[in-house]
Amino acid sequence: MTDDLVAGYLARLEATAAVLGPAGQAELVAEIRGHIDDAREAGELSSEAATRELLDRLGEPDEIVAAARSDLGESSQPPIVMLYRPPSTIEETVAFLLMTVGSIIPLIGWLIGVIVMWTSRRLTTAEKLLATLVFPGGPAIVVFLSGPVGFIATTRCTSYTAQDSTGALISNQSCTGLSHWLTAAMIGGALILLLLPVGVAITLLRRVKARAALEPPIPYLATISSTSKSRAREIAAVLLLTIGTFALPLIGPFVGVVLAWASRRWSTADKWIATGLWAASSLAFFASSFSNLFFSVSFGAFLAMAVGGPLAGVYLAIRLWMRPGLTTTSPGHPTPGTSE
Amino acid sequence: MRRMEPGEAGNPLTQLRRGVIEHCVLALLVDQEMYGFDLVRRLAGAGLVTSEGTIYPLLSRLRKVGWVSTHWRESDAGPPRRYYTITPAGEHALTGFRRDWQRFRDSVDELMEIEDGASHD
Repeated sequence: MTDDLVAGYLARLEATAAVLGPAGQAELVAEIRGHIDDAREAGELSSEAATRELLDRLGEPDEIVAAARSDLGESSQPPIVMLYRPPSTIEETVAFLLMTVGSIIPLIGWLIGVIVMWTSRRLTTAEKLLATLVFPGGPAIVVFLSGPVGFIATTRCTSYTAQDSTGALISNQSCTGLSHWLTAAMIGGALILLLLPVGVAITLLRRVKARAALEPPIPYLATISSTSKSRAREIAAVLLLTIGTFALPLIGPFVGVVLAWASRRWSTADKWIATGLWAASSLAFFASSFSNLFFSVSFGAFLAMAVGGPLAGVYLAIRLWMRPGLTTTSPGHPTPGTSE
Repeated sequence: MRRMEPGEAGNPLTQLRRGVIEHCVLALLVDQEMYGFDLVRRLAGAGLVTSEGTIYPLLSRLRKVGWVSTHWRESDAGPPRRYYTITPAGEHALTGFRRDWQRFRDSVDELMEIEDGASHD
């Protein structure tokens, strides 16, 4: 009978202690069970009356669990709080990323970005038109065209020798191509064309963020631990930028860049550096591959592409592991139970 | 069996008792290490505890804030026992409490004497 009493008591305690979380529950039940075992050793469970007395003195499971919970900030279950976050602008950010650096992905990169941008409620039609017209295909068009244009622009001379009517040898030279001034102007124009869409994107994105900030904040439930543990996003970004450059060229590292922007663990400066590294290498790859005429890709071009993504990934990885976790809370040494 | 009344946790005496008991535990551990059961019984003997089971969460808290440390020791009869020892941080906290408690107790005593003169209880 005494065993039944004890078992019943412990079962009730275990059920009540469930609110402490699995660790807290296990610990509390183990300690109380240990107490009962010690009491048994001391001969206090000799009769049913004595057992009831012991369990009485231990107290109701409610009380014990309440004591485990009521200590400020000490309950095993971290407090659940209602937080507010400003509405997310991730869609517009991704859209503009696709329309600028993502335009490197042939055909679909810019297109998908434009489509997503048009679905945004935070831009006026005029702004959307502006972004679409400046300019179709995105800055990467400049890169894609640089090959053929470069071909036309390069000065090419062929020389030949011939015999004229008197039998003397004449050598002559025939050159095609554009003058140097024109070439320089074209390069300047190309640069402007490259940067213009980026400028438009940045301006519009700023407006989007300003407008989002005016919208009502979105409530969500969060606990301290839930915001700190998962690094999936960051790990995926790094992997996509490094291994993804080779496994999924173009698309892989681009998704990695997007994930990096979606992360809260990297500063904006870090994100720009990584994006720049990746974009620069992709540009270099395309520029040199097209300039090599009809897509005969030189080793240098491959190197350019292979380097940027992994470089960005490694940089981000280092920055990630350099920073302490954002929300690893250490309880410190609170003063327990003072009544003040 | 006594059930806890709503609002009882907010009862000043409950808070007071809890804070005091923690430091009483520390005082008991200054000279020797003790295991849980022993500690609980000593406190109960001093009339400081109504519900013995609540001492264990209290001990757990003391451990978490680093005022006591524990280690397991084999016992001759039965399962290993957890022994509690006070840490330097705990001793420091105890010294501070002693001083605060004396001041507090003296102030309350003084007020209570005045209260008694005009008491309507």
